[in-house]
Amino acid sequence: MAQPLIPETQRPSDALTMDRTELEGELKRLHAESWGWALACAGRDRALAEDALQTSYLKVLSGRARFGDRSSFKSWLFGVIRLTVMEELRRANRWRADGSELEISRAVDSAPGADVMTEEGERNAALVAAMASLSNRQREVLHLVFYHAMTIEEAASVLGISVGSARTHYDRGKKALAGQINEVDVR
Amino acid sequence: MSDIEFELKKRFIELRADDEANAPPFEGFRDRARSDSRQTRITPPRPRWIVPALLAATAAVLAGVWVTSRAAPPRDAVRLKSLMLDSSMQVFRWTMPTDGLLTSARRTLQTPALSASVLDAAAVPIPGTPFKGD
Repeated sequence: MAQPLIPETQRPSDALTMDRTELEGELKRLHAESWGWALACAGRDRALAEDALQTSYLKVLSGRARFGDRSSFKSWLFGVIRLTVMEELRRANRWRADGSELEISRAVDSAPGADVMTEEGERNAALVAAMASLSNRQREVLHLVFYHAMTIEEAASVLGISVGSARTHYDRGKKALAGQINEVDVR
Repeated sequence: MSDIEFELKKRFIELRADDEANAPPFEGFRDRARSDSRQTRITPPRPRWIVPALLAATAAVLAGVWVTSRAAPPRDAVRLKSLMLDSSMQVFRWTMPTDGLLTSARRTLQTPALSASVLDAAAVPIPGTPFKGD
């Protein structure tokens, strides 16, 4: 079961004054969520997600990425992870605007225990496959809202887009995803 | 929350639980980040002010050289300048070799004085030309 989210108000209000130990504590607290977000950005490619998350942590701990208090630490960290995944994708020359290069089936199969396909596993695979049919933005907004229980405003902050734009992506993506899932379920 | 949203939320919670169960441990990431950041510290990154400082120093040196060259021109330059001035003045000093003929002709065409003879002009030697009998 997913860990309950710690409200943003319980975080240190000013991470500019965070020392390395505090930063490590924050990263540890958000690790499970960061992993899920890295996986989503990397199109469920575990190897890519691990590389990107490692690089992101290094950026944060070495001070190459500095947190300003313009957003919550979690939103900022997710932004760092997202940009790092994009850098890794560009470096690997795998990045395309439509995200069609991301081999969802390969990534799902590479997960530990994927050979034993439970009903829940099948449902997850169907969700991942349905998400792959969405545009990058729609996929990102829906993931942030449903997976990470963020508000649309927070999702917009992570993605660096306006709230109105995020809301549009959310509405269209939600309808498209529901349609895709229903289609798979009927089959 | 609509039915669609409720269904999607349920599905995402399942996916999240599965991801968390298979997430690599944080300690591995932290230890690698620690060792990597130590290596980064051994070769500290170049401070951001280095490039602007170098540019400013270069500009200052160039400005200094320019000001110095303007304030005290080198001796060779002075000599060259005076030489060029002399040679250019030669142009103004130059006269045509036949200038004397014009002078003589002007005198010849002048109205002679009442007390003078018209032949007096012919007797005036043309400067620069050998006079008959020299």
